[in-house]
Amino acid sequence: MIHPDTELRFVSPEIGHGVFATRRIPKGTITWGLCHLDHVLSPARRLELPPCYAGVISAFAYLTAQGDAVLCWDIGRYVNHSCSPSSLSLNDELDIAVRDILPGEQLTDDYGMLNLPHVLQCRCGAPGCRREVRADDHLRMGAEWEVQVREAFALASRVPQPVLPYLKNASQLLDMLEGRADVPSPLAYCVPPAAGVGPAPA
Amino acid sequence: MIHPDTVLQFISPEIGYGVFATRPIPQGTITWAHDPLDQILTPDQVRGMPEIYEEPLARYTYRTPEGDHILLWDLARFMNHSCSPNCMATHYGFEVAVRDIPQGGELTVDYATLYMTPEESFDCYCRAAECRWKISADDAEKLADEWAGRIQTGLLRIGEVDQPLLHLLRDGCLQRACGDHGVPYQLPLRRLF
Ligand SMILES: [Zn+2]
Ligand SMILES: [Zn+2]
Repeated sequence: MIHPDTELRFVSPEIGHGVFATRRIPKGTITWGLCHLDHVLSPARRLELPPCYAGVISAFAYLTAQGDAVLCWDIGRYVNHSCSPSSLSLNDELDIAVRDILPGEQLTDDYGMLNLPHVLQCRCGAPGCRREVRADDHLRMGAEWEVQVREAFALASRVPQPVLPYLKNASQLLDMLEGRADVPSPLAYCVPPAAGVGPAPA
Repeated sequence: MIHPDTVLQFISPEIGYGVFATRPIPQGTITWAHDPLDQILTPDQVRGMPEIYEEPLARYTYRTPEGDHILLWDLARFMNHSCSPNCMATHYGFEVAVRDIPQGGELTVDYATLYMTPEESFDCYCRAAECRWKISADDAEKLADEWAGRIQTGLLRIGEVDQPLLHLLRDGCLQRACGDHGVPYQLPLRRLF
């Protein structure tokens, strides 16, 4: 479930749609979390689907470390990539705002954290754009992602968390917020390039 | 799954989004077919969700007579109502274009032809000449014949146009829909099968 203070907007014919904040979303807010209505498609399930879904899944779903493709049920599926994103993955079920997101600003993720089956050419225009986004970006970016996520999570218990009641696994976040569980390294959810989950059926 | 030659477009803050044709879609085209990614949420599954889900479920799903909530996975969920719709739902999990839809035209459906409960009545401002103003579950009884006639105008052309969604239809659905509406399918449909 995407944060409620967001809306879908058309960006351009090349990019298509994007998700934009309708109000300020403070750093530390969970901007998306896996909910009861999202599609979690196992590799076996994807093989059963008619071939017309391959394009949809590769454009809109992300892969978990287990090789499941997650297709958000809502506009969460339209969150675009940026090399200087507003949110990063906290784990494979949660995204967290790593800076304040202002009204009218686009919510973005770093697809380098999403176990991409293909290399993605990037023209996001952010300073420091990596040009190519790939599944093994965590080898270079991991330390920085970890710092950003931990800094953002330190604020998480002090900001409103409207996504929390929708989470499929709300207790996991509550345990972290209330200090009963450690915040995992985001790298735990990136598949080492050798593990071969990679180009599972799109 | 909605017809591939469609796109989501913002209409206005009151109406929100709608589904528009990116190319002409001729009468007789299957514009939507129920597909394996559409979620069928049983009453038990819905009961297992936190109460806060009531709002999104009411807004984005429709109920079947069996009490399941159906959540369409794609743009089809954004199709708006019209009292003079260019798409009509059959009882067999697909919709058919009952008029030619021009490029840039909005795909619409009459919500009263979907499963409506009495609580789901709403005021309509669709601006069709034949707008009924108040849309309710009772409309189905009054308009059944008219709707059947419209579906027939779509089905009559079904064998003459491209059908990118045909592979999603379950066995026998098209034949049974044609049978219900007195459309002889053997000849025009030979091309499709
Ligand atoms: Zn970039
Ligand atoms: Zn009307």
